Amino acid sequence: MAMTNEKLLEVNDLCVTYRIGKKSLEAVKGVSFHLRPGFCLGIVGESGSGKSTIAASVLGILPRELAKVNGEVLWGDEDLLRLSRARLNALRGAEISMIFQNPSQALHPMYTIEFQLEQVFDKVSSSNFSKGTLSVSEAMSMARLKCSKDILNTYPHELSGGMKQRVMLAMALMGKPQLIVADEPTSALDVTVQLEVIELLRSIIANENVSLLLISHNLGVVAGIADEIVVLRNGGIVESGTAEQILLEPQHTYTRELVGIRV
Amino acid sequence: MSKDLLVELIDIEKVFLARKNFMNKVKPQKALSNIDLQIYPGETLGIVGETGSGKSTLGKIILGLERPTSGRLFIQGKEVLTSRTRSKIGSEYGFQMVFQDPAGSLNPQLRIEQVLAEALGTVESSPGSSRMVRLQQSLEEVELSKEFLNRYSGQMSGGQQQRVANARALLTKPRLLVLDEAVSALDAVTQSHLLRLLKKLQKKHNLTYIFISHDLEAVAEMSDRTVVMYQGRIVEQGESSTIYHRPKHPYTRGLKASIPIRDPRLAKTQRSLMRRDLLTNEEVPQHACPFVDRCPISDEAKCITATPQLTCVPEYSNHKVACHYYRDFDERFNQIGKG
Amino acid sequence: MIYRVIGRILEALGVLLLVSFFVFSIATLIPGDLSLQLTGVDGATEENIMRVRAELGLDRPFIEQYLSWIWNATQGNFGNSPLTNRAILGDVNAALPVSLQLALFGLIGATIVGAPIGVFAAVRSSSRLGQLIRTNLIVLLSVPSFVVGALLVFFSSRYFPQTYRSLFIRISDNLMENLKVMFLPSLALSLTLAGVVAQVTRNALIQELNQPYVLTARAYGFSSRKVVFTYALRGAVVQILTVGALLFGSIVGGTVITERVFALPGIGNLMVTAIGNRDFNLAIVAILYVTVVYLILNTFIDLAAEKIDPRIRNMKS
Repeated sequence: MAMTNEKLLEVNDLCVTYRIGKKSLEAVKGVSFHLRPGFCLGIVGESGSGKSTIAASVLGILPRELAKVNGEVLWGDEDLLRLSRARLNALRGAEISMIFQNPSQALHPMYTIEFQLEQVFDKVSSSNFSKGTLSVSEAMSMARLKCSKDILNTYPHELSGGMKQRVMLAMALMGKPQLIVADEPTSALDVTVQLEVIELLRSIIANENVSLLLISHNLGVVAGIADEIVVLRNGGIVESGTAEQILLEPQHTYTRELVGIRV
Repeated sequence: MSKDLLVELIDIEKVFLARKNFMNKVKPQKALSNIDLQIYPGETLGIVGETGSGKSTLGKIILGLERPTSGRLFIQGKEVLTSRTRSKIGSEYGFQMVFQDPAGSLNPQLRIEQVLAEALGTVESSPGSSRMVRLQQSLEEVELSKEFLNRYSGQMSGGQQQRVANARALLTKPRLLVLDEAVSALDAVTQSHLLRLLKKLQKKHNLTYIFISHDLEAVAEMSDRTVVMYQGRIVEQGESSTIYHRPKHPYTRGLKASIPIRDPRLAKTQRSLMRRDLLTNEEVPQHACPFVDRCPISDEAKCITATPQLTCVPEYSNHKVACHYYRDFDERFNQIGKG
Repeated sequence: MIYRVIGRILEALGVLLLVSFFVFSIATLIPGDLSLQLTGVDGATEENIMRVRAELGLDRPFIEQYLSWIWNATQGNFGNSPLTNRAILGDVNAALPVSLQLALFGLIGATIVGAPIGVFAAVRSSSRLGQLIRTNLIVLLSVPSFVVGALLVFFSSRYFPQTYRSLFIRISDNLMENLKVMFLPSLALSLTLAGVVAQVTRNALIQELNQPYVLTARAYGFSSRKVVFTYALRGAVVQILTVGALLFGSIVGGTVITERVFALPGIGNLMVTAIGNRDFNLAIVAILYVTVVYLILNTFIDLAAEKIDPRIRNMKS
């Protein structure tokens, strides 16, 4: 289904408050941004800035009992925050996919890679979108993994960090999503592997016309992929602009601090 | 071997055995192979490598926290029997270690004063007041005020905790300090502060440092000599500036090329030097170069069949590389490497 | 693999040796021995007691008694019980299947009742119903088995006489009758243990539901059923199995009370009676049988855990 809007994802005044017992914590305070097709938006900030919460909100995976969410997250003309569970489930994996920080924890330790990939394949195949899906081997190739038994028949703990992250990427790509939300996708990886993953993400955005919402505290990673950047601090945006603007000519003092010293 | 050397390792090997599984297959993990290393007093030796390189294991073997499976270890010219466990290396040879996780290495139940006193306790027992003075001085040295003695580690920032860890290591007046990713968990600002402080302390106390990190830039800055490790082997070693500015081994080149770039215009064209084939999970054969499956210039002929040995690079003094084709890197890269 | 099996067997023999030594030692420490039983109250003269003791070999030093028992045991000769004059092995062999059957049925029943409750409580842990279940489980857990047993016997014999059977029929004799006899005791045991099973299931499942890989499953839009049963339950199974196996072992050796209430000739019953009579030759064999059951269960748990969780296969022992 082609998007007639210019904006793929539009977040308006997103507010997330966590309730733990009697205390409440405002994690996200009125954040607004948007994403266009084939485009990468980087959200940078230190730990505790709320960036992971924003990522989780887009997919609606915040724990309902703990988090109160206000605002709008528009996907076309649907508000992801107010969708039915069924509709949200249909979108997940098929239209919007997510990659997590620690692939060792994000993959199930007791099932083979093949099993886990096929589970996702079966799921996205049955969603109501006629645009089709990638096969398991196609998705693996796109993540530059050889579709061979020595990967498929193994368990996650038998693979290196970089390979596990590629498996996650293959999983995310199978449903031919329009948006991938990547929460610190390279933080747990070695630096040489990090660059390979950055390159991979760059080529996927360019060749498959997928948008990427990239959350990272690592400015080098963001510099390598993001077209525009939003700087988050304590749940609010302090500055936003193109990658060049933010990284080369930051205006806000906090941004200057972040950018100032060597990564 | 020269008497100048503080530590020397000859042909050190370390193998970790996994448990026999149901089919009686023992899966050994070779953490270190063919390690020859010399450490001179007063220098900073940098060891750079990523996950699986064996750099931490090497640091522990130098300290005596791990026993090598084979090979010989000499400290100040005298051979140390590796068959016997060395529990009190700190007091025996004056070697200490600082680890990566600042919070984890400090007992959260104790006040800093007690944490430091514990370290002193293993070496000597000195009377009350002079001991307190020593503790205060040790904190001053790492630029922490003496009121920190009464705090708990949970009440301090990561940088402060790491300073305490350093102070504790220095209390016993060691000769050699192994810093295993000692600043990696800290933010950039604190990192540079701490590194500068460490350099100052080194000059003051005439310490020998072993600086272990995955960060090539940090290692190059801090160390006089650098050793580059990959999958348990030394693939390149030499003067730090040469290693950083003119790396010879394809892996070192790849490491340097992966250093994150902040300028988006340059970052967007940053390319990894690694091979672009589809990845497999196959193990690299025993008698091959450990880097063969990722190396942009490797071939089937030599690289799979023979593990390259460290050979001297003629142009530079003390520079060694373990690669069959490093001399022709540019040529081969243009032919084969570019994806 | 051979080494592993041999190692296990050696380990097992070591355990059995230790247990036998332990029981033997206790036997000597406990006041009283078979001589009193055999002479009877009237015949308990000093001479008679000494004579019986000499006959039984109870006056020999401890080590001698123990070693000669071991010697006989290795040849499979456990002798006769001086009290019953029947072969010990025969009695124990007859009693074991009864306990095994009780344990099996009881555990299956407990799982059928308890596991779904546990799953429900875990999935709905934050809702009020979930909280309610949690508190009530604790109540269930505290009711002792003999209370449940006694109540069942009472009510069934009065109101549902068809279900109550007082005479025990072996499974080898008549399957239908055996099942009828085993029905009430199994029910008693199931109800007693359902609480434990539910609790363990609940806790293990809650832990799994909080794991990052379960979050991944949710992020891909899998249905709740798939998330719980495919992604979360697998990790919980190892814990549940472990507890289940331990429960099985404890039932075989320990439900004396249930066996007594329902008059089942199981091994627990046998053990306690023998000890009460100071018939240690019988008791020790019964105890060793139970030990063997535990050893087999342990091996089973280890193997199953390895199969389910592949990470265990590669861990350093």
